[in-house]
Formats: sequence, C-alpha cells, structure tokens
Amino acid sequence: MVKRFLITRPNHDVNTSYLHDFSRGIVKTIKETKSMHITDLEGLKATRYNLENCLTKENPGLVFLNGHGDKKSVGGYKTEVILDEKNVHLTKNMIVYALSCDSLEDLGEISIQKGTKAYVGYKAKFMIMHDPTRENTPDKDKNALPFKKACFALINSLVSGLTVSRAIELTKKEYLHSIRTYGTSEDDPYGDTPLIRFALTWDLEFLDMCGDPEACFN
Amino acid sequence: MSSKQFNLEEEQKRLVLERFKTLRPESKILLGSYGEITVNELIKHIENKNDPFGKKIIQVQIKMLKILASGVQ
Repeated sequence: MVKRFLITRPNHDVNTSYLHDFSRGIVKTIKETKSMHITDLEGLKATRYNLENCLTKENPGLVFLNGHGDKKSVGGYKTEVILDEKNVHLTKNMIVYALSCDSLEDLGEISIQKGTKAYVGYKAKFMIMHDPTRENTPDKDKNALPFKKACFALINSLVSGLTVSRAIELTKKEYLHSIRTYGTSEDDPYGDTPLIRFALTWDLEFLDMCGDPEACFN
Repeated sequence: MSSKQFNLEEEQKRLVLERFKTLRPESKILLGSYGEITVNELIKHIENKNDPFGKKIIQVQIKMLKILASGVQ
C-alpha cells in the first residue's frame, strides 16, 4: 500500500527560505521512494484552500507543515493561516509535524481533542542561527547546518516509520551532539558558536509532542 | 519563594548576562514571525525582570551550560 505524505513549504521571506531549504532532502528522498506518494504544496501553492483540499481528498498519513506560526495557527504562503482550530479536524487520524513557532502550545492540544493521532512541534519560537551573508543561499550557510540536520533527523525518522516518541528522541540526540561538538573543529570567524549553541539548545528544549507517542507513519 | 531560591535565580541571571555581553551585539538569530533578534535585544529581555521571554533565555542558557559541562559524547 502506498503511504501518503503531504508537505507545505512556502518560500517568501528569509525564515521560510531556510525552512524550504531544510525540507529539500526529505522531498528528494520521498520522490525516489516508490512506496510513497508526496503532495508538495510548495511556494505559492501553500494555501489554506489547497491544504484543506489535499487533506480531504488524499487522506495523508503524515503532514509536514513548514512556515510561520503562533500558539493557535500555522501559516502558509505570505503568512496566510492554513491550519487553525477551525480546520484542524481535517487532520483526524494523521500525524502532524509543524516546523513553525509556538503551535504545539495550543493548536497541538486542540488537534488531539479533534482526533489527530499525534502533533509534533515547538512550544516556543523556533530559532535558527544563520549567516546573514548567506541569506540568498541557505544551502551554503554553515551556521544553519546543525539546525538543518536536526530538522531532517526528525522528519526522516517519521517518514521511516519510527514512532513519534522515538523520532523525537533521536532528534534530541542530534541536537545534543551538535551543541557539544559545534565549533570545536570549524572555522568561526565571527565568534558565532556560543549563539549557535544557545539557539540549538532553545530548539531542543521546546521540541515536544502531544497525542499518541507510539503513533507511526504506516 | 525563599531567599535562597531568589539568590540562585539572580546568580543565574548575572551569569547569563555576562556571557551574552561577550558576544557581538549585532549578531542575529532568526526568530520566526518575529523576524530577527539581536544579541542586544536578547540582553534587554534578560535584564527586564518580568519578561517571560527573558526568563526562557536564562533557562535555556543554563541548560546549555549543563549540557556542555556533561562532556562530549
């Protein structure tokens, strides 16, 4: 049976351009996997209408949202709210991973009440330490690399069929590894290492889930 | 809150402030819909006694120090 995966990844400002870059690896992986189907709501396709339409018609097992967020919503293209209390029931029986600020705080809990299997996200702002000279080429930004690795570890674990709790555990290990080792053998001309470690610890601290920890994408 | 707890919090705040003051003030972190936040702005949040964001910064920085103190694995 083909597993269905849905991703939203707007790309209209510096923040979303980094998240968009972080998602490239998993999109490539899934496109090369015959047993999976991907619906890629990229750029200006990341709208509320398209998300609702795909959730209803395609019934994906795993939904990966990239974009701005707050305690009660997740955004899409140009920060249109694409998921909130009014339509989160459409993610019933699905696993949702929101790579966005704050949304686990309220929307995560509400989603579980409305039937979402598990909701993974952040209980505070999501931080990325970047190199401002690389804003137009996030894929070449060394400062952002440990953040990219952690984000990939989480979505790759979920896509691989690990349980949500195991995926989070592995991601936290990745964060810890980067915090402990970053900068020990790298050039750091701007002295950004302490701030990179701080931002990684921030993301480690506020990554969490609600719902069924044993849920998996199958 | 006991006076001992209060002193610990103050000590942690002082430590975190001193560490942030060694960084480039203009260095920035991307912070979602907030845009960017500079080291200087982080310091202001820490200095503001009733700032929940400042309290989180202290909590996270202390956690980071504990992680680093626990060694490379």
